[in-house]
Amino acid sequence: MHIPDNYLSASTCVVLTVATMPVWISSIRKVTRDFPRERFSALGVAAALSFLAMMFNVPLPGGTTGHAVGGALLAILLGPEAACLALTIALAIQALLFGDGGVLAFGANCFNMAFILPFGGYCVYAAIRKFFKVKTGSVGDLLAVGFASYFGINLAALAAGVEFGVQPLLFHTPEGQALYCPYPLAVSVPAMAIGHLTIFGLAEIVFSVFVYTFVHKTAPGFATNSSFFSQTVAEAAEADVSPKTGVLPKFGPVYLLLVLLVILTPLGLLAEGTAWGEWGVDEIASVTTSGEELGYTPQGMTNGFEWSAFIPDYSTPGVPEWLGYILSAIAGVALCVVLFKLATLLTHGDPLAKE
Amino acid sequence: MSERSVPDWLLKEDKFDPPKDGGAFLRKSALALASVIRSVRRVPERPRGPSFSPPMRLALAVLTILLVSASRNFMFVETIGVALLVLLATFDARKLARTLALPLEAYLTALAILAPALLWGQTRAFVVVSTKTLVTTLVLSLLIQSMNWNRFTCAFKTFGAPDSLVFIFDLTLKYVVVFSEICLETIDAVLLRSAGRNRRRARTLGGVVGTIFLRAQDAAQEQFDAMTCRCFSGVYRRYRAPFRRSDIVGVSILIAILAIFAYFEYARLCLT
Repeated sequence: MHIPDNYLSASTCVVLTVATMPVWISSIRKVTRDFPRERFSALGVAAALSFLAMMFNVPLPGGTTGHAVGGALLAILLGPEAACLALTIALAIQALLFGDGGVLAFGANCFNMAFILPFGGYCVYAAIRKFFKVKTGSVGDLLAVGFASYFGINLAALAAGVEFGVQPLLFHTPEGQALYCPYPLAVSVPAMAIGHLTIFGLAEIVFSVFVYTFVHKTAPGFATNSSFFSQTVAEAAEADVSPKTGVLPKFGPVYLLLVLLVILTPLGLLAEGTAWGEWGVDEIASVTTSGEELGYTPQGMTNGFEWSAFIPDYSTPGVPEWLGYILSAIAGVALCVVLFKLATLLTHGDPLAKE
Repeated sequence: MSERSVPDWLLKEDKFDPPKDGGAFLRKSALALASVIRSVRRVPERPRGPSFSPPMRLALAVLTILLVSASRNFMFVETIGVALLVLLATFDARKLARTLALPLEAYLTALAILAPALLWGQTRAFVVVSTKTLVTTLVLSLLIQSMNWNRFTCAFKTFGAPDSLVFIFDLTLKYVVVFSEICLETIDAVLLRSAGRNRRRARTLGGVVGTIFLRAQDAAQEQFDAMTCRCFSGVYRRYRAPFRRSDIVGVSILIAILAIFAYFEYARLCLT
């Protein structure tokens, strides 16, 4: 679902970035107001969880791959605004450091995965909880988490499909060749939907329900969304307070989960092929859709913007692929945690200045 | 008891906007001196993990800096960078900011200096040199943050550094604090006693520096006399840093860094 650079026109990227701006601003305001300094580490851990979820590529018959995002899960655990910020940071690291998702298309990717996915999934979860009066931790609750995450990722995939699909309608040469993404809505929407309605949606459900259950049982203090966890988690969080600082919540089990996921990330390499809509400039001309080869490379892609990432595609030449993948996972996780710790200086003031 | 009303003039807010004068330069100098004193006198926080002896820390840092500088396989620099990132992730925000301040300054400077390389199409050199700058200064910053300055003297002596070097290093650090304090007191006195508008206040800094120079001469004589009285000829006893159990971890890390370096250099040779 990571839209690369040059698949969307510059104007589309600007429109989607501007559309995401109010969400970012309101999310920063809400999180700054609601999250104490000590809880900011939870955001870093959440961003790391999502970063790792996106590294587990799942194959789809036909040669494409996809992955879970965990956006709705983060929204349920920490609130949609916090999830939005965590996903934004995870997507920024992926784009800048690993070339996964475009730099120009960063706003578009955030619109889909950091706005539509968590907010959409959250609304569905909240509606189910309210309508069916589901208790936290019950089977109904797990079903709600699963359904919300499934709905969220499909909504985001639909948005990405529409963004891809409008490109050939709006931007094409006089001869009719697309300048950017060459596939119209009739192709892009079903192509995005098929994978996410089936395998990728299932992967999102499995990841979300597994992590939700794990967090609920081992580190309930991690979940801070007071809308749903005020009864059970407040008590649990109180018992989970670090005796050393008196404030810092212990996320030990969640950190262990991160380590486990990092070790398992090479499993994502088993899935071969490129995700739909993420082909390189050198391969798009030979992509076959409905038995027909595209046969040309859109002009916007050949002359487009190119970002040279630090560790492109999570791998480095001369090193086994699995090792490069693990190193990338460690770097991504550590960077998520470090960036959110540094963010506390911006949101809660500079502690050095108060010394 | 009769009520007494507060007079109007007492309720009015005083507006005191002194005209700008030449004091900003002196105040900034004072702040800079204060930060120097703070950084030298800083007491490092006790680490949560294994606490290595000062020589072990110095050896780890120097070896890492040397290998990162010498490495011709960028993957080694990346690996060390990732390891340092993991270490940083365990710090709290305050320590993180303190540790990252120096490396980020160095990194941004390196980026600015290397920017012309991008115009010549040397993207690789731009990325490699700036990243190496970031990683090496980060190692240095971690070393500085992890122990007191006097521990450095011990570590230098353990590795057989010449007495004259250790003596100069030791004395410099001590007198940086002593003279900074004198300088700070003098600037405070100048600022306090200079009332009203004085556009030439910054010029008094020259007098402060001259005073410090004279005090330094006196201090040097006093230092020499004190050394003579205590029969100290500038020869340091070899500091035998006790080999801590945790140093085994340090030695393991040292060997691991060397092994990773050898592996990546071998991989580079195989590729070429």
